[in-house]
Amino acid sequence: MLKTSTLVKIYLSEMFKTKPGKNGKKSNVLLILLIMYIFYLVLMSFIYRMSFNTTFGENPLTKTQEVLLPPILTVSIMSFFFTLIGGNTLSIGPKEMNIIAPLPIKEGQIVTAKLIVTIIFESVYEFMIGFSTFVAMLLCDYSSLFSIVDYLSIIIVTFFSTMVPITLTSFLFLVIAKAVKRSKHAQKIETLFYVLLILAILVGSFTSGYSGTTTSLIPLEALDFIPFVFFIKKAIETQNLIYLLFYLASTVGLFTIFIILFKKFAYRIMFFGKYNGEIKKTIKTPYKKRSMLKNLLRREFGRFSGSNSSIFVPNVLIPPLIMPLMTIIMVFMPDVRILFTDVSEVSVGAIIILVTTILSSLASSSPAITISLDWRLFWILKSTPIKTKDILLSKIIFNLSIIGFATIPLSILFIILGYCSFIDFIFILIFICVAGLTYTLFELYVGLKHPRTGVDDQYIIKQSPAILICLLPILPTLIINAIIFIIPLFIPVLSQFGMIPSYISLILFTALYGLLWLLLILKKGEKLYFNIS
Amino acid sequence: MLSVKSVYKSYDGKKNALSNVSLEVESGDIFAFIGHNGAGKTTLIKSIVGLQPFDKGVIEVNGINVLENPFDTKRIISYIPDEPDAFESLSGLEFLNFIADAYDVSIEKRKERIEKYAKEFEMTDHLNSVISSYSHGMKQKIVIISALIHDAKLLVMDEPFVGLDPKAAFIFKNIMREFVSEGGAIFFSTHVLETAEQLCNKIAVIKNGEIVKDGKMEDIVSDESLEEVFMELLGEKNNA
Repeated sequence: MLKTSTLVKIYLSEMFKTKPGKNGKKSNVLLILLIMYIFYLVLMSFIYRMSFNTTFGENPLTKTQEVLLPPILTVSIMSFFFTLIGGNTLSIGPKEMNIIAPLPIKEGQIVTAKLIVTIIFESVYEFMIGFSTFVAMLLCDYSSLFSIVDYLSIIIVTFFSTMVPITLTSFLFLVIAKAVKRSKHAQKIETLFYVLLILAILVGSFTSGYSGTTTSLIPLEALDFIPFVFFIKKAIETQNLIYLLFYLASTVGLFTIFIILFKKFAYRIMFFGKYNGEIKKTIKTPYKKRSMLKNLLRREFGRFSGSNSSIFVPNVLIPPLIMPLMTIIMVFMPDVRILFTDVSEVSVGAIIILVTTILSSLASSSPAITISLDWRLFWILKSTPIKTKDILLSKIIFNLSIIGFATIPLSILFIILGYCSFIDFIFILIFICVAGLTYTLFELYVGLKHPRTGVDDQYIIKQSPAILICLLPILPTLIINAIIFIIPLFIPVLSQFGMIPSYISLILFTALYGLLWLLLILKKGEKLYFNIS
Repeated sequence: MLSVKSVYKSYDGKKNALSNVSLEVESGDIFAFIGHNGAGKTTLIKSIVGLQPFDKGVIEVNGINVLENPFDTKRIISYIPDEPDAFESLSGLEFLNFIADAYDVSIEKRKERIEKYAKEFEMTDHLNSVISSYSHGMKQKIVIISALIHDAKLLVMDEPFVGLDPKAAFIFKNIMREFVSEGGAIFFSTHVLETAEQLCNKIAVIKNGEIVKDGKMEDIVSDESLEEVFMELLGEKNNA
């Protein structure tokens, strides 16, 4: 009898499989990722340690819960966010359909294996914060202030925080699947639901964070409303171990109950389809000639209406949607607007640069994803006289249009609301364009270098090493951008021109960085694409 | 039309998937490429049509090197893969328009050919349906139509009869004969030896990446059936 652990191993190896290196040698991508991950752990531990020392140094009477709750809440919200953005945790590809479904494996085993793999993968992000907090607690100058309960709390949250969100996401998935079963537009409704849900969580955490007395992005009050985090909060507040046991029991309990109660239903939905009957859609098409680039662009945008898009669409759309959403919030939330009126022009500029850098980076993963998603269709794209440059260009244009849609309205609003001058606006706009193109080129190159072919499961493609490689440089890029932006302000010759030298230096640096990737793509892109099989 | 000279290909740097493979396909030829599973048939086909690189050797289509001028060779090749995957969200006609655009086929010509072949394969009523709703056989038919949409000189196919019903297979064999009678050449892999024997004038047998026999069908199959020849070739090698 096949063990659940064997299934987990198979799923994990599928997820972390990398393209072999030259001459069939084992790829070193995972090693590079591990090194970068450790770098992040060290960096974040250092930042947390510094922040703990500063907090306790300024006010020695600060309660430990005040410094511990923000990271705990961050881990909890991240669990929800990343799990939801991951979309359907119980999705299966045709490969599994044909291989796993006919085997005599119990429903509970498959559902459990799927969820455990998701927990392991999603915990990667949570572990980063949890571990860094734990190390900072141990190494900061005030480590004696933390109790055993504090240490245990952070460990438990680090390892168990994903269980409840994943259980809830899976439950939601089953509910939606059942609700839209007979709808012709089931796939679209499901995708829309996920997008709206993620946005609702974002709006909720963003707006409530500014509505109270605290100005932190993540509101402490929200703790009470996040299921099961309440017990952790209580454990730290009362220093009572029993609350930690409640947390563990409720988290693991909910997960187990879900599997026991819904394993059969989940299995049926996974393997026998969410929707009743075959959807026979017809499209009246005229005989029409189009340029190949236009055809390819239509294809890129067409993915949004394609089948099994409930993972790809939220992943591509969410980061760019955050910006217009923030714009709307700023217009309608006076509490938020006040934050920008009280700060200097430099800070406003820096905030925009910061947000643009993060969101442009996050929003640039579509080229890397779509190169892998195309693998079954390479025979069309490669055997017909379609220029590789057109294929790559269509992916760049598609991504830039998404970034542009996301970032340009916000910068226009900033100038309308008087947060920045017209000159600043022009420079910010140039930066947005240059940064968008640069990060798109970088992620396109990563997608070409480390494609994840051979699988149809969008969840696996989305979690592939290429996507991780795309995400990891965000923090170093932010730090470097911040340094480049600030330096001119401290050089007397340059500072007399205000923020213009800062903008120019940042734009030039980003353009040079982009040029590097452009040259690499021009030199190797066609060959890399040709070699993908 | 197609010239493969001393082609080598290895996936892992150790074992050759193709080893010193050479063959010639001329205009008017229907060339069958047979071999056991994993022998290297798909590897060679993918190398010919530009789906993957090879390590050594030369492949030319109509005198044009496929590695040096891939764009020019692709313009005169049509390819049918072993799995008929197409853009699932497009309708059959949208997909055919896409392929016609890739080969720069005029509106009149594409209309004429799509209507002709759609009628022959009984696909006319399904052209406006999305490909995701097609059966495997219908997908295979739409991919075949897409291969016939432009003025190809060489038709390269990997197991083209898989999934076709007997009637569609019969029609397609006639189309293949018509194609070569107009000066084209066909190179295809198959496991259906009866079809190869009945349809092709030339044949090559590949085993473990090496061509073990090639030439005119009548020279290779004299008194025996192709099946017997094929089994003998495998047996000879096994005994050696």
